[in-house]
Amino acid sequence: MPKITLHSTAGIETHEYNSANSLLQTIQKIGGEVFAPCGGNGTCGKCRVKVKHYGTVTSCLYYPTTDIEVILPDTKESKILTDQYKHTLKLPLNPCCLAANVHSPMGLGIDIGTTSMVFYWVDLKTGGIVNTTSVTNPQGRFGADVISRIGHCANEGGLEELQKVLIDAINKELIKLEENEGIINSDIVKVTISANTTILHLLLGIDPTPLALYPFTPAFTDYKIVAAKKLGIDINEQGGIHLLPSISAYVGADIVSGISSIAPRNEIKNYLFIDIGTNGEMAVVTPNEIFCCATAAGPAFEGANIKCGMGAFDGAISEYSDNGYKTVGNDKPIGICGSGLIDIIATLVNNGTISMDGVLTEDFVLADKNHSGNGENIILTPRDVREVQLAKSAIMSGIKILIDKAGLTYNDIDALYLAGGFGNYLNPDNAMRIGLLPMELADRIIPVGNTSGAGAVLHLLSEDFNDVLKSTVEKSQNIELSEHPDFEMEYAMNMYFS
Amino acid sequence: MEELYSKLSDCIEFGKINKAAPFPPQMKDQDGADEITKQLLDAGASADDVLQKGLIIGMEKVGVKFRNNEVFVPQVLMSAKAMDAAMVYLKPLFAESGGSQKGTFIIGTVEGDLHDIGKNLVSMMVEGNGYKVIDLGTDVKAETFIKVADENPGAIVGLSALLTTTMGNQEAITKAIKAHNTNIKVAVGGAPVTQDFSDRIGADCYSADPQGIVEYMNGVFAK
Repeated sequence: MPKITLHSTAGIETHEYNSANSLLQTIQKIGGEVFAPCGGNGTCGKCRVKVKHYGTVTSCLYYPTTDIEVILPDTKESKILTDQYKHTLKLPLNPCCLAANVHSPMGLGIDIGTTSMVFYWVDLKTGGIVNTTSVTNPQGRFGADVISRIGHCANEGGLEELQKVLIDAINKELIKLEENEGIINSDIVKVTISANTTILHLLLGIDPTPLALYPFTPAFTDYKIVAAKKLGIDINEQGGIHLLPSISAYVGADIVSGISSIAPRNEIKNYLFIDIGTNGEMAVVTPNEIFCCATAAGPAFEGANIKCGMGAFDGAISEYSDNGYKTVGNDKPIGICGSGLIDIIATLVNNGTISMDGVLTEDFVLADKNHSGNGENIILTPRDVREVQLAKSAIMSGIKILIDKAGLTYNDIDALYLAGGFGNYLNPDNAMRIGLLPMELADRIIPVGNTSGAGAVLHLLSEDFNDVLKSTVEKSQNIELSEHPDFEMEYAMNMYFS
Repeated sequence: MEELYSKLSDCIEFGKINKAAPFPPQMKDQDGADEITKQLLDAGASADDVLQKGLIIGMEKVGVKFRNNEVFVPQVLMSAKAMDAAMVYLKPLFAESGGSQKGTFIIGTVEGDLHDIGKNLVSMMVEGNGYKVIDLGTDVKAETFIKVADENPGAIVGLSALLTTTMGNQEAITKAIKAHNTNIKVAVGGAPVTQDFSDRIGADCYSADPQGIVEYMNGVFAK
């Protein structure tokens, strides 16, 4: 019999298991606790657990057959999953027409971020997310941010190269799914993609150069359906690749999808929506209008430009306090991810190692080479602190100016939805301590996870989501931060750790 | 008088604009660059001395501290604002006397690029070191740089770019300027720019920080 190793708050235990059972049944049998309000019917998506070296799976829909290592969510993560469920739009199952012609129709939702790609495999019969996997965006080797990738397009064959690696990555995941789950390509009838404007251009092989030059004009922003065959994506040959709509060069489909996926409770009238990624997109959403902007936050919180920076993969320091660090997967540390970076800086500012104006006099060693997972010292450098100052000030200045533009004050903001996987893991108190998020909204911060991906999934599940997307785009207006007279001063002053 | 010069240089170094300014906290309620410049001029100091013995000394300290990572963007910006407050009094005097400024610097962010914070810091630093600065703003075309350079013989032209995509325009503009008049000196800067790039496109100067361009200009105009 295969073995399961279960990590939970109670500790680590290993058992043999019966491969005829779903992972949820196996976990429940050995006494692990997983929240499953729909009773294992595959509809609520709340019984998600992390399978090491594989990804996140909806445990009631996942039938493992080999030795696996499963990490149960801790109480904090469970709360986030519950919050996400509460604040996400629900639509009745109404997938595309092709789904009716196939025996067990599947859809694939992809959130292509600048740093990573997340794949959501959705059963279009039940509406359940079968599993979620993620890989690093392979375009990373051509530049950490979209601007450097646009720059790469100036090279001979650069655009084709950037397009090819994306399509290859998608096809590679399709092959993996076939091998692991036995799902055949012809059953996959629809792919929905949410991404920023640059990545959507690159995916279609359209030159994104105008996006980087004033006046920043995209070749397209509207919703597009492209034949899978035409792009060389290996699904049902009649299937389509659906690209969600964008607003402007720097406020992309990821934001439109994210805002559209949120269903705020009735008492929430005005809210802030922030995706702390490389472009630091954000929006102030009011009942009739949406004000959005992108801030040049840079990829610091995604690990780029930081000496020992990395994504939130196994071995990344993801939490830090005076008591030391915690890493993703409890592995030996090999780097620092965004949430860890915020904790480290907040801790060092609090104990005076970093001054209010951001001076760190020498490298700060988090784990020496004898204790790290890669034989090297894991350190925070004085330059890293500067990178964080630039990034956090860009976000904070954007928040302040956007709220001002909307004619509101902090008092009028009923919620701050923090989107992106990063938002789930960051410690809000520390984010406020370093001045990344406003202290004034302390009691209103709601992490909602990867909303860009959630929107892609909603789009797979229901054709009706197109109306929601359309309305989001129509209500939106783009705000150019640098044109605001206070921007320069705000940007400079928000760099302090006051 | 000497005490006032040294106070003025402190105001520039620490970014104290005027008495009412809350920044920096340790200089609260003290006179700022605005008041002290006025006091110096009232006491009979020449505009040139105010520049040489006050502003330049303060600005140079900021430049060096920025290079050594002891201060960051906000402090430099505040220093620049403090200098602005002093220049309000000095500029009309320089215009009257024909100026004793060391030379002229023409600066702009290249076509396609709207970023101006880095460019502004450089322009303040250069101005604070005793040069006349002509700031052409952002999204500036080659023709504009060439026209203004022709109107100001001997001026050095500074091209700023923050994006890897607009570095291409830095190259095009540098080449256009050199093709027009090979004697015009071109300096390039901005986050993605490197010495290698500068050499490759035929620019005369590259510096990672504002102090470097000041030192380069000091060298050129000392001759």
